Amino acid sequence: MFSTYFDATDWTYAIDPQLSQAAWQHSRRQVTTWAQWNAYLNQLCLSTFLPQVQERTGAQAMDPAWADRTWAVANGSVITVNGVRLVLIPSEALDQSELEVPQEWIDIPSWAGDYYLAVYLTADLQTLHIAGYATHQQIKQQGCLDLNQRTYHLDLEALTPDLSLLWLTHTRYGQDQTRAPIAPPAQLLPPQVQALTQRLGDPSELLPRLEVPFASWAALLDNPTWHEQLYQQRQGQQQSAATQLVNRLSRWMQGQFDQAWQPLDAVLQPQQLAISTRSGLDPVSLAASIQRAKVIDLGQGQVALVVNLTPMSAQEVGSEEGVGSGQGVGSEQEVRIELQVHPTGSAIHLPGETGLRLLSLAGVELAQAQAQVTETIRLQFRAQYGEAFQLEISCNDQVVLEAFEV
Amino acid sequence: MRPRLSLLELFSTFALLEGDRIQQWVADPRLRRSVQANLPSDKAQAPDRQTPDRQSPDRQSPDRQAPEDEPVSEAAFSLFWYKRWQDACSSGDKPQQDSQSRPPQRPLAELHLAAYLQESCYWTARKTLQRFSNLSYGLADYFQLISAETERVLKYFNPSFGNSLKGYASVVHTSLLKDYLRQVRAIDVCSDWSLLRKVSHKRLHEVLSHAGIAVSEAEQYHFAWVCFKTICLPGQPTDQTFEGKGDPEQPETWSAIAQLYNTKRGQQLSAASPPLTPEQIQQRLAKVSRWIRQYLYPTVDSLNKTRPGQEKGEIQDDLADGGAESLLDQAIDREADADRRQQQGQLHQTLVQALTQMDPAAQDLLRLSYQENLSQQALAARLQMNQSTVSRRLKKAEENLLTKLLDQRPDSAHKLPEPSELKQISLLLREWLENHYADCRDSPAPSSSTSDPSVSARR
Repeated sequence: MFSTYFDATDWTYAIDPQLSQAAWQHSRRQVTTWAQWNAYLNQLCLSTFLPQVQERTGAQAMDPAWADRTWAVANGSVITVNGVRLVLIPSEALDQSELEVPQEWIDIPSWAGDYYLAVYLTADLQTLHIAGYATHQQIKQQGCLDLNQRTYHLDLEALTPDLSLLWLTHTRYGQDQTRAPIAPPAQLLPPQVQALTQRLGDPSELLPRLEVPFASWAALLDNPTWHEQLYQQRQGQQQSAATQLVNRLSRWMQGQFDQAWQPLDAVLQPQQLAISTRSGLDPVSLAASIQRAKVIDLGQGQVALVVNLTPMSAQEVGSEEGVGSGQGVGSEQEVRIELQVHPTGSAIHLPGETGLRLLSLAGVELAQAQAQVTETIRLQFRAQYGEAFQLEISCNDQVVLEAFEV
Repeated sequence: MRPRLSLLELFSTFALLEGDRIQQWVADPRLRRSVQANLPSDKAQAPDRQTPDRQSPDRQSPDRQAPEDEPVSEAAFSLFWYKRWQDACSSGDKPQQDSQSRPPQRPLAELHLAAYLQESCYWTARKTLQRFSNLSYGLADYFQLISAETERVLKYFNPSFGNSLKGYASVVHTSLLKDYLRQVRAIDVCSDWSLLRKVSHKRLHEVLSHAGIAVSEAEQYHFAWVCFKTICLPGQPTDQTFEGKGDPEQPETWSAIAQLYNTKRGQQLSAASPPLTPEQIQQRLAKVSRWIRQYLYPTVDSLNKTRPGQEKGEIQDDLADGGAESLLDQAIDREADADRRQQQGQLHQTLVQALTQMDPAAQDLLRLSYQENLSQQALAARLQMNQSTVSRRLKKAEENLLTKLLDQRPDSAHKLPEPSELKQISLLLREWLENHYADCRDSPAPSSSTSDPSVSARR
């Protein structure tokens, strides 16, 4: 019915009723009605538009975990095309007067995109209409920021209506042309993070994004781990104190790292760096490896935990012991994981008696390494995508647990 | 309908419609005086011999007259007023946001341009009516809806790429009309509470202002609306009904909304405000919902009020600075005009060539769309394909042409304009396609593929 007043040159897409049902089901996992409806609309938008983009060029949607926790608090979703981030902003407004972008998408560094698309849903929710797009820079420079609602507003007439232009030129503009500078987020100390998570984690808080000063909100949301924590808190899921933060290694494959995980040279001294990179890998695998280090506080000292991820080729699979359900002949979706513990700072040896234990999610010990007055500890194993494990790093009687999901 | 020819008429008269036709042109005395002050009288009265918008550049005779004797083109004069309008807007003459919410003062330049765009509005209204007829509205209504929207056209107009104001106006106006028609259709099926959820922030403020709500109070309405939207939500994927806890028919819902409003208002509102009872919030939002409906169905009275040229005392009279810098002194305008024509010439060559190289089916599609002004539905019926295929192919054809334009840019090899300026190229293409097929309509030359011999050129 509502598709009558569109021309052949308008960018409209029919919404498949099956997608609609699926999106509705998926949205039920949110805890507030607002978040459920928000997740529903955004999922509709994403599921309908993504295949259209993929017909032309390679494109990926934001990963589902990121989607869930984003839609719990704000409107909007992301498609990445050839390294360029498109932020889709759905709206049910009948009047197509303006593009309204939540401030999160503009002023939080890890959220910001290159192009923002104004997506309208017709009154019967059966048609999607993309009215136009604008760059991050345009929105920042020409848009108005509503400080109370924390949204940027840009008149629709300021947008570029012809999506063809986007497809034809998106690979030709660099971020210096599409994005305005974004201030780095404020630094939050762990106690502040805890306090914010407690306060905003109460699902009866219906407008969490407007509760605290934007600077704090932005800092919290910029960090994927803290964002996830907040989401879990609102979802009401009980987490054991030690394993609240799950490190998702799959995201490392996409180049997304939590603030806590830094490149090796930021954490290790040169001689440790040399020890660390002494591995038995061939150059090809070495080049595909991803390494990150995190400083772990062990009471009487600090150590650096290094995680080294190497996606395995089909040939290598099947020759090593694996973690988990013991499927002897592995699939292509495996990674080799090497764990190392190094001293930090100018120390040459690890403090005291340091131990590293590999545990299953249930706490069953799978492997261990222990050392006294040594330079480094290593543990190596193979895991499949989707598997989860815990690491227990101990020094004398101090214990720290880190949870991972591949 | 007699077309206007002289610059004086073009920039100082408004159309009076009778049924579907322009019956006569009504002059506005202030605008007349203003045009005469900015042009020597002989130029103002003489028929405008150069109308680059309607002629293809290759049909124009080269100018050999001295710059001072050249007649002023309507395009040049429209740009003159556009610059005047920009100056008026930036020199601090912003619309006043006071508690009485009077209609903002409009610069004289804006009215000149509103007058200029009358024909464009008429043709846009007519074309849109042809494609999307609506039982409740006739051509005069369509015309009235867009001829009052000059400011919206001017706000984002960018002449630096050579597109004309008329061409740009036609795009903006078409979009506005379609948008309006969709809204009207939708509000007929939306319930009051559902409607409240489906307005933009901008529209809400327009509605509040139109209803005479002072700015300070508008804040409260706005936040009440935000609370409503947070709590009242649909209970089914495509249904319009609200779900249990968020059902506006239940009193508990309004208690929840009131609680949210009262606890958070200190944080959200800039001025101190009283707490509201659930009934008070419900009443306010019910009013807003009615105002939203009324906003889309203007009464005959308000239509008359918004007709350009008929306001009394709300116009800034800037005749005083009219004499300082008249058009004749601006030799730069002439050069810019010549430059523009040259660019248009190049554009024309590129596109004509690209068009002939396109496959016949795509050419046909463009012709049917632009020359015969067929809607998506009609195209689908005519070509025996479904609407999404029609849409996809038409867009592909236009994209093909767009690629040629992007590649032929005269400046440094692969340098693109700024992302926000890219759309000018798309506008240029649209304008060219409109004019090209309008010319084909005027001079019935055989088109490259006439699959349907019964096609008659319609005007």
